[in-house]
Amino acid sequence: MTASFQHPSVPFLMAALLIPLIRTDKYRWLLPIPALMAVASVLTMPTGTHGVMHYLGQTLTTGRVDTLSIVFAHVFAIQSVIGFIYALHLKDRAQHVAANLYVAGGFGCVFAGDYLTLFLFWELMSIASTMLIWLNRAPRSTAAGFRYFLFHTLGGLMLLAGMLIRHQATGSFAFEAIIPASAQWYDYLILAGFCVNAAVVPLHAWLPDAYPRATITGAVFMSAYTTKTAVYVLLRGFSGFEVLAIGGTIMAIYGVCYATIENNARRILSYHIVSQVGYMVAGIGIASQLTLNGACAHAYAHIIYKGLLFMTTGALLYATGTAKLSELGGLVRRLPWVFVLYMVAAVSISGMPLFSGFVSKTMVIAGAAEAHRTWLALGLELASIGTFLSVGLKLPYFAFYAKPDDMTRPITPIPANMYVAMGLGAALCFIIGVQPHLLYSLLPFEADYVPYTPWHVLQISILLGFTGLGFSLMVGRLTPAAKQNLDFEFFYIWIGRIFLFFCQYPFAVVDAWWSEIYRKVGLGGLLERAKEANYCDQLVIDGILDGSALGVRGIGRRAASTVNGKLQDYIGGAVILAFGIGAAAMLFTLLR
Amino acid sequence: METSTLGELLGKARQNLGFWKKVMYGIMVLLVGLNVLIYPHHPHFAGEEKPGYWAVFALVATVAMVRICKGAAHTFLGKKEGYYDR
Repeated sequence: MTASFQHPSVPFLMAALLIPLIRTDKYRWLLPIPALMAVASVLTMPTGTHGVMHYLGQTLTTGRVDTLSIVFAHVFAIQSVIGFIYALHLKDRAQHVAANLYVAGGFGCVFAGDYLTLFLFWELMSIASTMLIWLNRAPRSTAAGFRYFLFHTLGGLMLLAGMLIRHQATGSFAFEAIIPASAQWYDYLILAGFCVNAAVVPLHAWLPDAYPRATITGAVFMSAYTTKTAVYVLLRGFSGFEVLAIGGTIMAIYGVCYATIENNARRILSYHIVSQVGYMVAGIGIASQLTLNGACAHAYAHIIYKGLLFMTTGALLYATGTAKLSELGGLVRRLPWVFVLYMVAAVSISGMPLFSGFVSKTMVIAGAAEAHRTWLALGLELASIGTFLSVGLKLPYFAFYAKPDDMTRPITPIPANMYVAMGLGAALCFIIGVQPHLLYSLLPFEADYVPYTPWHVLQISILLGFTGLGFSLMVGRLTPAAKQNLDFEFFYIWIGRIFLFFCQYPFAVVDAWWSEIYRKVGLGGLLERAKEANYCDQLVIDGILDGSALGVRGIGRRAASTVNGKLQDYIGGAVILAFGIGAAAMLFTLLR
Repeated sequence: METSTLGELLGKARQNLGFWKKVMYGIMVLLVGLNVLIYPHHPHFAGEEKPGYWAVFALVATVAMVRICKGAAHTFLGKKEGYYDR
């Protein structure tokens, strides 16, 4: 059975290698193939430990397959099919390469059995996703990409430092569950690294800063993998940490509050990633069987409906050239299918019965309430209301209605493949909503949950209905303003500026002084020493060496003068020598 | 891909705004009515078993959220676009 584990990252990595080499643009039709191979691989893979490699004296496990990794890999594979269909029309090879590397990184993290393997794929994701931002090829995207990369490097370094110190202390890179009571400070360092990618407030501001500036198709991929990979590693390593229970609930509310006031549609959706991931993080922190299952189920449902939200707003951006609500409006007659598909995703995220969010989100909330975490459960209910308010009502109202019908705006026709991908996403949102057992059968923990009870359906209907009433009362106040709202990136940017200031001024001044002191004192002294050394070298060492060398040279020269190359001289010399020897011999004989 | 029939249908929806509002209000009355009959047998929150609890919660939360968040945006959070580009 071991032989049948095919790592889902491999087809994506091969695609990333091959795409730049193929000459024709027709390769694009093959883009969904690695994704389909990943689906086949996930559906057939046996549980157990596979793909163990030895490298630099370390054991790397690339294939830890259990129920927890399979549920994430399952949705990663399905969303990659949808994502590549959505990107099929795109001729920019670099984007396809980056997307393939990024997805490969996501799968690598999910199946990593040790911190070292995890770190390698973690960084692959970080680099590839930065490319997806830069490839939008706009000055603001470039700047946002740098900030994004800097922040993820910080997170990656915290993870690296934590895992190295952990290795020093425990002698192992094993990536297993950490019990909160026995967690050491280096475990918290790793946790902080994970929290950067999970966009836990206040480490979240990279997300709404960068995602709206990524390419249209890049944002669809990014909405699925980075934060959900982080949810997976938190589930794997850090369930039951109280800081996550509270942090997650804060995320859920914080995200919807910003979404209520944002203007850019993709930025609204980015804040909703923070909010929805908050439900998962809270579920991981509360750590009852029901909330842990809820976190998995919600990650699954979220990837599909959030992908659909980014696809539909991406289509809006593609068609009109803007994602700002203040510049949109009155488009429902021009883009009716985009509106309908958007609304499927919007009611899914809002948790409306018959759609996917209802069967997953209520699991976390019910789990929190049953675990007697009443305030957290109430906070999550509040976030549900904010979700429907901003994504279910405000965004579609101001993008598609609000203004009189806009029949004159030039609209770029949306390619058929984008509609196909959006249709697939919408179908999945509905199928999960009406057949929740399909999703529940994948869940790793033991917990029974029945979403469709009369009270659950009635409660959420009342919540959504009266949120709608509130919206109709407050719609005038909700009109989006063409402004940008400050968030924690304000502090990141100021910390960066203060650091830069210190580098430019105090550090530069100290550096200049030091250079001067060095030049005057250090360099002068050094030159004196050098002179003395030179003197000693010339007189003593060179004297001995040169003297002997000169002697050898003189002997050589004299010897060389006898060797002049004339044959007659050599013969003559030999004759003279022979005579000399002969004469000496005769003399010697006579004298005896 | 654009089928104009769907577009026209959705476009017309707002011409009958009054009708749709009446439908919405009807549904809300119905929901609160049902809440008298259907309520949680094991309430997790104080007062949850009373009819209309979640209706009031949702309405108050929506209004408060819009007031507070928009207030923050108007006063100190909202800046000109390109604020950091200076």
